[in-house]
Parts: sequence; C-alpha cells; structure tokens
Amino acid sequence: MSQAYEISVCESVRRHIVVADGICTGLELLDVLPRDQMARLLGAELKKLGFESEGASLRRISAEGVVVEIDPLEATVKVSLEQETDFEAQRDFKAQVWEEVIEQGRAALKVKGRAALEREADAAEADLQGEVVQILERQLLDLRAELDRAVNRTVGAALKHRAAQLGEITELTEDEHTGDVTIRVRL
Amino acid sequence: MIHRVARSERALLQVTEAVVGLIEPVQALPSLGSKAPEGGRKIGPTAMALLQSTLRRGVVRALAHANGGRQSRSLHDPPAAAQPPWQAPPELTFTERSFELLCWLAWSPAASIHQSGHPASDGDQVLEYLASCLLDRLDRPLPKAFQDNALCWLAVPHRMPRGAQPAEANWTRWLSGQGATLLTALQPRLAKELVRIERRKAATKAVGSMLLYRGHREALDHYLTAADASGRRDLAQCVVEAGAKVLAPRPSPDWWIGQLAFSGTQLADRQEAFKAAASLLSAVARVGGWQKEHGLTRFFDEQYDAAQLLLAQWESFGHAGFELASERLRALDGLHLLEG
Repeated sequence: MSQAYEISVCESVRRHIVVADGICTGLELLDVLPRDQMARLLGAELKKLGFESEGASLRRISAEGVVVEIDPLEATVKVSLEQETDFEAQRDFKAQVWEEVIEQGRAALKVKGRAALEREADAAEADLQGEVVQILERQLLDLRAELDRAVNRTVGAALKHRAAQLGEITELTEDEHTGDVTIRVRL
Repeated sequence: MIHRVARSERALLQVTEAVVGLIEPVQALPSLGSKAPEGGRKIGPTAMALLQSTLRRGVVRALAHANGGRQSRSLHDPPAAAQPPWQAPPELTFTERSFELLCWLAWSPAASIHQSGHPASDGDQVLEYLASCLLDRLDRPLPKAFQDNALCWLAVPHRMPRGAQPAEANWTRWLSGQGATLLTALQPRLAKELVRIERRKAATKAVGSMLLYRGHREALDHYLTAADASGRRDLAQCVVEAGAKVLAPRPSPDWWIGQLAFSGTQLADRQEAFKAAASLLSAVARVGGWQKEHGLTRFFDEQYDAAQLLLAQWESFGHAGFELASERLRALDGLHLLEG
C-alpha cells in the first residue's frame, strides 16, 4: 500500500535589482538674442542654482540622486534617477506526495518554490520602481518652478542686452514677484 | 443579370464589397474566414470579372464618398480647381497583391498573409488603406505588410505592429501624379479619421493603450514634411479640419489624458503617453507655423498665390485656433503634468 511522505525543498533567489526612470523635455527659451548668447546667459543662471558644466551640458545631482542635465544650446532638460538594491530570499517549501511520485513531486515543488520567490523579487522591483517614480514626481514640482525662474531671468537679462544694443536705457524696472521687466530706451 | 459563383467566391466578393464600402462591414462578417476553394487561391472567370468590376466601382465610390462632394482649390499642378473623383475617375490598377489581400481576408484571416512581393500599385495601396479601416472597425489585427502603407499610419496607427515605425519615404508616391490626386480626394475622410483617433485617445484608460499612438505623431510629422517638400502644403487640410473639430469646444489638456490610470507607471512611459496623446496637436501647431509664414509672404514672392490660397482656406480656424493647439501641445509636452 502506497504511503504519503512529506517532502521539503530549499529554494533561494538572489537578484541585483536596478530600476531607472526619467524624462526629457524642452525649455521655453525665447530667442531674444542669438541662440549661443541665450545659452551663455542661461548657463550663468543655472550655475547660480548649483549646476556644473559637463561638456556642452550642465548637470546637478540632488541629495536623493536625481540627475538633472540641461543643454542650454538645445534648451532641453533631462531628469533621471537610477536606484539599485539586492534582493535575497531563501525558504523551505514543504508538500505531501505519494511514495511512487516522490522525485516528480520534489521537482515540481522546486519549480513552484522558485516561482514564488521570483514573484517576490518582481514585487520588490515594482516597489523600488514605485519609489523612484515618487521621488521624481516630488522633485519635478520644485524643479519646474526653479527652471521657470531661471528662464525668466535669462530672458530678462537678454532683453536688457538687446535694449542696450538698440539705444540708451533710460529706465529699467523689474518686478521680482511677477518677473515683469519694463525697459525704456532712448533711440 | 444573375451570375453564378461558388460559395467561396461569393465570400470573396462580399468581403471586397465591405472593404470598398458597398456594404456595411458587419454584413461581411459571416464571410470572413470562409472555406477556401480546393486547389488554392483560384477563382473562375465570372467571379474574377465581378471582382474587378467591384474594385473599380467600389474604390471610385469610396473616393467620391471620401471627398464629400467637395470641389475645392488645391496646389495641384496645374493649379486648377481639383476635379472630384466621379468627374475624372482615376485609372487605378490592382495587382496580384490586392487579390492576395482579399483572399486572405475572405479565406484565412487567422493566418499570416502571404504576399508575393509584387510592388504595390496606387490601387493596391488604396485598397490596403480601406481594408485597414474595415479591420479596425471589426477589431481585427492588421497584416504586418500594412506598416509600409503611409495612409494606414494616419488612419489606424494603433493597429500597427508593436515596435513598427512609419517611414517618410512611404509618402513619396502620394505627393505627385495620380497619388497626389488620390490624396487630395481623401482629405475629408482622413480628417474624420483623425478626429476619430482623438476621441479614442480621450477615452483611453491604460497607458499601454495610449502608447500605441506613439507612431502617429511621427507619421503626421513625416506627412507634413513630405507635403511641404513637394510644394503641397494644402494637403495639411485634413490636419486643420480635424484640429478645428477637436478644438472647437476648447478642451483642456485633461480631455486627452484625464482617463489615463498612472498607478505603477514609470514617468518615462507617462511622458511617452502624453506625447502620443498630443500627436494631432503637434501637427496642427506645425501648420500654424506655416500659416504665419504665409501671412508674411510678399506679393512679389513666388509662393504668394499659394500662401494667399491657404490663408483664405484656413481663415475660419484662424490664428486663435492654431495658438490654442500650440498652447495645449506645450501643456502636454511640458513638465507640469508629470509632477506628483
């Protein structure tokens, strides 16, 4: 007569999880002056915000590891974040099988156990992905306001340059709150 | 006169009638996937004559229907009033390619289409385009070969195989000769299809589904580039007409993306989804740039007449319409929609 046995297998999964996310968009930079001059002015404003030159671009990395890369000539901004973690899990899986099918049962249990641990690793990856998205969303809120102000100041500076090229500036007023610039020029 | 044909041939003819719009698509449903004739893809002379007649009549009728009875000025060379298709029916030819397509639809739509590799004629391409619209209405996938058909990219981009990209070269045939005549006649129909696509996008809930429209923005961009390069900016009529219809109620950016469920979606995919949502807006904004140029064209410039024609043609949409498109595009392409 056939007997039932309890079998046990130990499965483990190790995964190095790397998740990355990011976006790329344009800055609305009016060409008040030729593009290369606008790029220089924008670069100067961005340096005040902690950006550092890296080739043709400017770069800044936040405390949470968010990388912001701006190309002032193309007026594009790239925001990205990469995070990694190690996932490790080991567990015993038990099942009851009939004597005649012990080996098949063991093999099936190994597959089932491994699949369960892989699903846990997938869930850990999804959680990390979710965290990355949340960090980026938070940072984008502040970044957009920051970049809008930098672009406004750049355009303001460009307008002053342009006005000086046209004639003698007789009056210049700037509203810090609204960013409005009023320039009177004697031609 | 009564014609006798085999059951399999009747299915083929019925599917053809549905493709060219002589009957409703739902009437052809029972014929899709019918039993193929024994001995392969062969039909008798009666069925062949009927098939040829159906194609000739049906495609011209479809073009006339697409044209909506309009007689409008175009930049067609010679610059005369474009003749509607029923007054000067185009001489369309259909090759073995069309026959293979119709056989596939009628007898083995579940299998991959086998095409002999014949270069497609204008007639073949128009038939493929009409077939793609039928397959879309019946919620059926498109054959891979349709990705080389520029018209299909405009009308049913969401049905294109994953990873497929529209090619600018595919527009070459539509910007001169008979192709240009056909494309001019199709403008009202293409406009309706572009509006239908926008309404589908507005109802899209899954980010993955919105991403299916990624290729549409590129396809419209290629279309406008090709039209511009060929001196046929008037072929942006379908874009302006669709834009006017969609933007008439001044929808907010939320109209396009408000239904999307973002939970668990990467920002990169979200941004791609917003860009896909803005495909028509991007095209309308580009045409808006052209319209500004038209307004600055001086009377002694070579393009003055063309510029005046287009200024008049798109006057009702106007500067306000184009500006609205640009504004909505900036919102969908910008950062703030991505913020938490």
